[in-house]
Amino acid sequence: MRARSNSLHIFEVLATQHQSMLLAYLVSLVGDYALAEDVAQQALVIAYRKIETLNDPAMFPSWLRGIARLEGLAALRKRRREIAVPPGAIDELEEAYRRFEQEYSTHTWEERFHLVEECFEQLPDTLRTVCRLHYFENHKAWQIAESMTLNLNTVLKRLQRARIAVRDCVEMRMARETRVS
Amino acid sequence: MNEEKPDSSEIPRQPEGLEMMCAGILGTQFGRRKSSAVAKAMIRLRAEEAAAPQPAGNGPASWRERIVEWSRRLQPGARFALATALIAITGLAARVLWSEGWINLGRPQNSGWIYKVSDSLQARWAGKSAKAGDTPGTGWLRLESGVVEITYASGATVAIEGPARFRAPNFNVLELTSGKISADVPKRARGFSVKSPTATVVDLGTRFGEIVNSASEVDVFQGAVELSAASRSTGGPWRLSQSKGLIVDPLSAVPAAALPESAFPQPNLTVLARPQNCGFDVSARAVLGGVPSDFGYWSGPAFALVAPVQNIRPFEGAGMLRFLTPAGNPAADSEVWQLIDLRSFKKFLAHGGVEARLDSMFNRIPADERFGQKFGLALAAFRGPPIDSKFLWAERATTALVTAAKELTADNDPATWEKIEISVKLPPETDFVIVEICAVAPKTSKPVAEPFPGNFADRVDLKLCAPLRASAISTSR
Repeated sequence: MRARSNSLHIFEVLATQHQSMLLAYLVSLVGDYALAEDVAQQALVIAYRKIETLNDPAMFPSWLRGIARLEGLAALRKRRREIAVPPGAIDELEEAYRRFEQEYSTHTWEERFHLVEECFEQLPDTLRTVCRLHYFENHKAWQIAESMTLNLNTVLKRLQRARIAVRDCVEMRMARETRVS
Repeated sequence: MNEEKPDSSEIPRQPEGLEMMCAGILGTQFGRRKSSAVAKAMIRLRAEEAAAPQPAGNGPASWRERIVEWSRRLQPGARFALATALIAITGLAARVLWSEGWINLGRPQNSGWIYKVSDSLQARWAGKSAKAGDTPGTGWLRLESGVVEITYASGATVAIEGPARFRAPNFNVLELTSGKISADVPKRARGFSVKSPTATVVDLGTRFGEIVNSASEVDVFQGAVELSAASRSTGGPWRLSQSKGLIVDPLSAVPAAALPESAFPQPNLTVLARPQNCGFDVSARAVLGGVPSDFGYWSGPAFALVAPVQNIRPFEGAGMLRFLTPAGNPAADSEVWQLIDLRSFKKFLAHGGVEARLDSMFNRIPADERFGQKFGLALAAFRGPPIDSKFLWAERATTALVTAAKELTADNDPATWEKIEISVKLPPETDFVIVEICAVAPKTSKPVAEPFPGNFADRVDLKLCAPLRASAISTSR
């Protein structure tokens, strides 16, 4: 019983270390923070039950994402939501996370996420504002369009441009990091 | 206004991996957005560990375990011989009991009556009358107007609308010389038949309607029936399946599109709309959180699905729900919710007057008044999709179509489970209901750290009951 409690404690530490990554991954996948939280909870419970199948502890983040991916897709199917992300893109997402881990090797996900934040802060005001409203305050694109008296297409375009700009910045910073190391 | 010109010619592009990753990180506000996913997962895992069975050898095994262990030790040949002997003994015993009349397969247990009047609606009789609860015997009855529901000892239920003349000569037969009926025949009453001057309908496990005047029209709502004409020259027999109809007169039989159910009187109908994992017997999806955002799973701030705990065994099946103390708030009730989708019952609800009957069983270990002694059961019905269900539930007094709730103070006896039942009429526009079971926290000025030392719920059941009603469409056939 004591051994089980110890393993539970170790798992809690691991889960806490990777919580932000898990949630960000699931938000990318299911596109809804509340649902991502529910799925993350379920994925962690399953991960603990299956922890003995994990051979290499270093693989924990990608192994956890694998479980989260299955649970996330199952939750979307259950909600009868169209799975907006094609399988190829899900593989690319996993590949992006692997690169992020390898090429920007810090101790915590929060530090890696700080890199994304720095890139976000470099965006022009117009793009930053729509991103804040959409990603931080959960406003839908049409709501942003209404409140800012913009065309819906314009809002979608700005969101897309913001994501691309952040992506390019992150890619450049990761490449620089790789060269330095 | 500084507005970019949208490029309408551009095909919407799919974000690639790194872009998706950045979007996800933005969605968590760079990991700063508060989340309790780990905390909730750990509560679940700790509850599972606490409820996990002790390792073998720590106490006497149950009889079931002993039998399983003993049968494992047997050689395969001996096991086969034992199984054959048990089957033979069971068969022999069944035959003796049957020949002595102790068991009666396919026939009603109650030989005192053939059918009884189970409900009536503005019934006016000519001659001999019968009211709800009466057992009229085998004689002819003439219903001038209104509707009566009769229930056979076999389990078949028939709604008869006047003017009608009928009798039940035996335990699974209705003779009808005129009138409009609909029958709901459960599996155990399969073979139930309706005889009219022109045709005989034998049920094959179904719901069907029949109109008898100079001809007989049979319409099948669900399942199948076998129909034979009284006159051999008419032809047949015919097998009718769902949505099929047939009109049989003394000279011919003509297929027809089935009339809608509303063209017939309808008996009291009950359908089950149980929550998923209503008995908490399987380790299905359960989430520690608030009111669920979707259908089909239990969610609440602190609970666990457990096997027998201490001296409390589940009311039914292998599992039950244990209410736990919401993290950091011992003064709060421990609530668990589920959203139930009723859109597939729309047709049923459209009849109007459908009553939702919700019940659940509760139990607790003995404890004084410093601990939670009360349980609650509540239901609220809503229209539309379950968007922002947390808000809908919190503001149900204004957002819900109807609500119902009840509390019960449980006794101090862990051997008895106590039931809370609530019922409410559901409006036809109901799309879903939110069901809540809860352990009520004691209202004291100094709450204890763990107000729910052993509070349990089991078997949450939701039934939708439509009342007896007359036909809504008059037919010229």
